[in-house]
Amino acid sequence: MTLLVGSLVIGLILSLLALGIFISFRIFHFPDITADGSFTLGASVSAVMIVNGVNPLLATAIAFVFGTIAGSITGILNTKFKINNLLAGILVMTALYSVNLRIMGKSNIPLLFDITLMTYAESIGSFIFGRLDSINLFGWQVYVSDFSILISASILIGIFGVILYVFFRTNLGTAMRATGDNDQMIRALGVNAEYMVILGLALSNGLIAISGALLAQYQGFADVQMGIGVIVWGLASVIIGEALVGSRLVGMIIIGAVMGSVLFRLLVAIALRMGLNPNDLKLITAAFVFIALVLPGLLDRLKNKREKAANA
Amino acid sequence: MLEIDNISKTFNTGTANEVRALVGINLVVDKGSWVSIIGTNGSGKSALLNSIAGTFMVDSGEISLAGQQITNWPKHKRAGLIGHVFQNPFTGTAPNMSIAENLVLAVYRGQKRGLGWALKHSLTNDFKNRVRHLGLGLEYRLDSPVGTLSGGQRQALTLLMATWVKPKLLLLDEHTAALDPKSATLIIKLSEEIISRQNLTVLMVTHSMEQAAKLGDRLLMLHQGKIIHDVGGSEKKRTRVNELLFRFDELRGRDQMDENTAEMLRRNYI
Repeated sequence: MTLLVGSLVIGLILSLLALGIFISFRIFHFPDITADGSFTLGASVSAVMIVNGVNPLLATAIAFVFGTIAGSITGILNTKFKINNLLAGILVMTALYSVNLRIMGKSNIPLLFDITLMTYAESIGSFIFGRLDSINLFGWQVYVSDFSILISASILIGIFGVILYVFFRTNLGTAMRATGDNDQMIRALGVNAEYMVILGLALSNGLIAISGALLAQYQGFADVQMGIGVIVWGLASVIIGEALVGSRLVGMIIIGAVMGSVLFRLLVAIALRMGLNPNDLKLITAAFVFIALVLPGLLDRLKNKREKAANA
Repeated sequence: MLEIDNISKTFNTGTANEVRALVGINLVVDKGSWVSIIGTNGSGKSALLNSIAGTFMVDSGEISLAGQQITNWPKHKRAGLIGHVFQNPFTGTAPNMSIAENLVLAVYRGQKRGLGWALKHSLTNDFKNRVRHLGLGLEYRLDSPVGTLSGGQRQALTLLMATWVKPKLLLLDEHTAALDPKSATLIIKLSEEIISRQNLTVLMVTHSMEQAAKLGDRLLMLHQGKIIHDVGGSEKKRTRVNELLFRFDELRGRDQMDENTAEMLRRNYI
């Protein structure tokens, strides 16, 4: 049961990563590898501050700010200096590796005995359930601490989802979506498309940094390696989410990304439980994303061939 | 209204592919005038429009519009003054967004976009009314993605969007060239309606001699980056399609002779 709740919580935390990837990859068609660096950046910034006694809420908010700065730099490299989008992300990601080491001063910071957002969630839980250690949930015994973290995470992600949805329905958010859809058109309507890309990447990496900050607080440590390959996790979640909701409406895609992230974590948990070597996880995820990206095109081609054969 | 003072533009300067797209163009367009522009491929007619729209910056010369020096303005800033309809019907609209969302983007052309809710109820009625004027039945499909519309419908929508906020200058860049004849006729009809209702100043590049002869009150012919023919007023009214075709043939003949001469010289002396 703890394993299930744990993967649900991680799924929810990483749904912010998925939403960030959704903004860069799906809205702007920008394969933004900065994600790998800004995820760790969020973790390292918040961990250092928490260890030094800063309020964890403030620490997480500052992680967001650092993420937006990283994203804007990638955006500026791409738009103002005309560096290829993939390369711009790689440059910032590589630079962030050193930055993260500098911030942390070492490669790993444990947070096990510090006050984090998880401590907050647990104390809210014990306030509601009193001195109970575990509660009965539909016949399962669940630790109160696990349960309250799960509920808090759901509420937090719900709030983020609503804020993002509202943002994308404002004039600014609509212009941002249009920039990814047709940038020639949006320029002709008086929008500075370069500014939109920079702003979008800032928002994307800000969310990813929060995701990293939350994961560090949940697992009880920040590690300089923890961001490696997260872009692929995010992509996998977005793709699963799109398949789940099957809609292009912004609201549905946001819900889909969250659902995709949770489902992806559950699948990972099941695979590990069934004996998958954790070292193979990234290989399998990459293969999964590859198949998910290629499959729709292949199916279309197959369908066209069949129709042609039927018509002939 | 529009004043172009001796602008030039060369692409790929100093390479084998050097193209002198615009060579010292001077042009003054009065308010409310509709100028048709024709020319052979590579004559610089599209380059002229793009230089005004800000797709590229000119090498020299100055452009002013509605009393403002816009020579160094980036494209998105000029868009506050200029409505632009492109040759490709896919260029002017965002396919994955609904008709209403596309229109909202046009409502705020040239304005700062803030955090106000985009699809306000007060706008929706406006959308219905003005889309109904197109006569395409799109007013019932405001929530459909634009990608589901035909080329002609998309071009009609682009036209409406480019003129939703009255532009100081409307640029039509071969805006019927990619359409079937029926849609092209419809778009021309809509263009005429909107332009006369709003009394717009228009520059229209066209590939169709018929449109060039029939539409507008002034006609420019471009060749090798220069304006070689400029008629307005009663002379424009008298211009016939045959006459334009004749002029084109003349140009083509001259070009060919140049080539033949060059070939002869090459054969004799190299």
